[in-house]
Amino acid sequence: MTDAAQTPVPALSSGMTLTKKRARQALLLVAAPTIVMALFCGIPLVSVVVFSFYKPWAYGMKPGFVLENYIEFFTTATYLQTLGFTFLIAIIVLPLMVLLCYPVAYYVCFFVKSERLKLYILLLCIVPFWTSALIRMVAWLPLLGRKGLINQILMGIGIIDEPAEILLYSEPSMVFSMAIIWSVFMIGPIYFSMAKIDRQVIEAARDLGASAWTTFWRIIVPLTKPGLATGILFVFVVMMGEFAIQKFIGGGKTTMLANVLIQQQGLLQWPAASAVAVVMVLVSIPVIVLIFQFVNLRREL
Amino acid sequence: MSDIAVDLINVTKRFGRDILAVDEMTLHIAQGEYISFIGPSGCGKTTTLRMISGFEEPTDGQILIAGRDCTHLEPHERNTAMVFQHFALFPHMSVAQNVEFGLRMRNVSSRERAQRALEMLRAVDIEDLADRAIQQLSGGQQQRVGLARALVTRPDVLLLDEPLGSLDANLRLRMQRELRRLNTDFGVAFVHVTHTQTEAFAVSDRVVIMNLGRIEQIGPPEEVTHRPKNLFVAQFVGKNNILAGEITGVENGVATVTGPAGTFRARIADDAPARKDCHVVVRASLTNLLLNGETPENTVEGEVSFSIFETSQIEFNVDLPSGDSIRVDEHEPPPAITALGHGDKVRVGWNTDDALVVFE
Repeated sequence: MTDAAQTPVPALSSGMTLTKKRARQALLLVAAPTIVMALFCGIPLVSVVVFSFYKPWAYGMKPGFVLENYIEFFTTATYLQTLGFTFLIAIIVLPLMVLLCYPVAYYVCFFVKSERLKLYILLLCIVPFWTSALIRMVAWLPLLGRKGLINQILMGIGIIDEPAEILLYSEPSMVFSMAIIWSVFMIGPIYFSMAKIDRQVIEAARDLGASAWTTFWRIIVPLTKPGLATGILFVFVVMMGEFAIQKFIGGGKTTMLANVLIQQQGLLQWPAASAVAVVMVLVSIPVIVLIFQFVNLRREL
Repeated sequence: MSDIAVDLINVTKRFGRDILAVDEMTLHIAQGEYISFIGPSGCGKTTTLRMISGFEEPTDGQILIAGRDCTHLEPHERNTAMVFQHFALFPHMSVAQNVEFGLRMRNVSSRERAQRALEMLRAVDIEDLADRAIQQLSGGQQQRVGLARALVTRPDVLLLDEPLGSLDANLRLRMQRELRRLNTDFGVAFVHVTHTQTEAFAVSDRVVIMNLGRIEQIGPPEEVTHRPKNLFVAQFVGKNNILAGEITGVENGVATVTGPAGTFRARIADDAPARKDCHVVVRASLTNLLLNGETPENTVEGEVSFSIFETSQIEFNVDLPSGDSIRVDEHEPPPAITALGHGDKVRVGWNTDDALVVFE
């Protein structure tokens, strides 16, 4: 096995030092992702900002620089209400999801002993994502509808006399299904940050006199903060772009920010739609900053 | 007030139906004593430690800590403290917060907490690191924090689970001395589980040698090294040569043993079982390669199979015609012996006083 030792050091092309070659390789490595990002993320984003200042026209837009689109958005009560409603839903859905998903992650992480079973349970959370988003929503209809399973069961055992209307096409049903449909975005990050906790650290806390409850609050919750923050970030971003749940399960009675965007775009009002998109990004920034305040994700991940 | 830190009384632990981890173990650990558990993997040493700390519940028997029955108490309900192999420090807390954690759980006022934590950090020589984050510490520093965090609660017994297992060799030697010093300074009983014999011998007052859930021998390091109680201990502890044979006669505490390798004389304990089949045990460091003219009481002839040079000694492995193999550790040998190597015919000898008869 002396072949390796005898292999000559690869000759460098004349006139180029090793450091120069390294620098060129490094530049190449950096250039590729930069170009991809610029092409597929930078240019579209910049063009949305630019379009939002274009002049609206009956069937599209004309180049220019006007504030008309923003003024319209911020002076129209319906749009502002929609913005407020979007945040209201976020304020209700996010804590609800934390309350629902944290125990699930906790259970899978600490109570399910078999690694195989853990994997199956987590897969179960992901499997619905193999189907289309639309199907995931429509699937609620036979369950929550007037003649749906839940109503039939409730009537069957005599708790109610006529179908409960609130189960479908209502705000509660919308909030509820959002929490369930997006749960994997919350369970996943929480579970993974929980699984990273050294079991001996938990034992150390117990050994030093912490009850199960104290261990939970002082050790497990602080150490899963990165997971919680990531989960909240994921759900918040998905929620800002959601337009179908409020239509199919909320019954279209209430609209969120993304619906306004789609409506404008449907009317070929590109500048107005772009303005909504920019507003959406701008209002998201403080939320993301807030989450980064809560936990240093850069260090934790 | 009892001067016993831990009483284990007929403690048995079964996992499931088939696995007997600890079998009817009885052991008393005195206050301030440093005791180590050694034994092969799965011998029950870690399980015993975890039963004292409360992480495992005994299937049978009783555990008293400082005289109080703790058999069925939760870990946080007993006054024990554990030092972990991988330190298990709280990564989201500073050094001082880690050390104060146990006091916080005992509702000690914040002023007293800070004071006691500082004292303890001083005792383990890292008072200047109090405000550091755990991630900024080296392995040795982390282990010191682990020790401080455990000792600050003034436990009745300090439990150390392979405490030096993840440190490098030099640091391990330094921490051994540190542990010994802390044990003396604080007068707390230390129970140390390790698979490194030299570590156990270096730090302990008494060593417990376990096998298959049972105690094979308890005693000071010198005793278990020099007077192994049975074949298992002789095989496990130190570097012993073991030759099988049958007792053909006993006179004045010295037995004559004849086996395939030859006939030897060796000390035999007064309370030895009345059995014929036995083993003669001689420590490698008490055997010698013989130069012409030396005639010790026991000799065998053989051929050197290989030798290993260590800084202050050479280890010779000698094959005997009987198929046995003998290890001879020569300390700073003369050139005539240093020159010996593979294939050389040699004579190996030892004194009757240095040989011991053990039984299975």
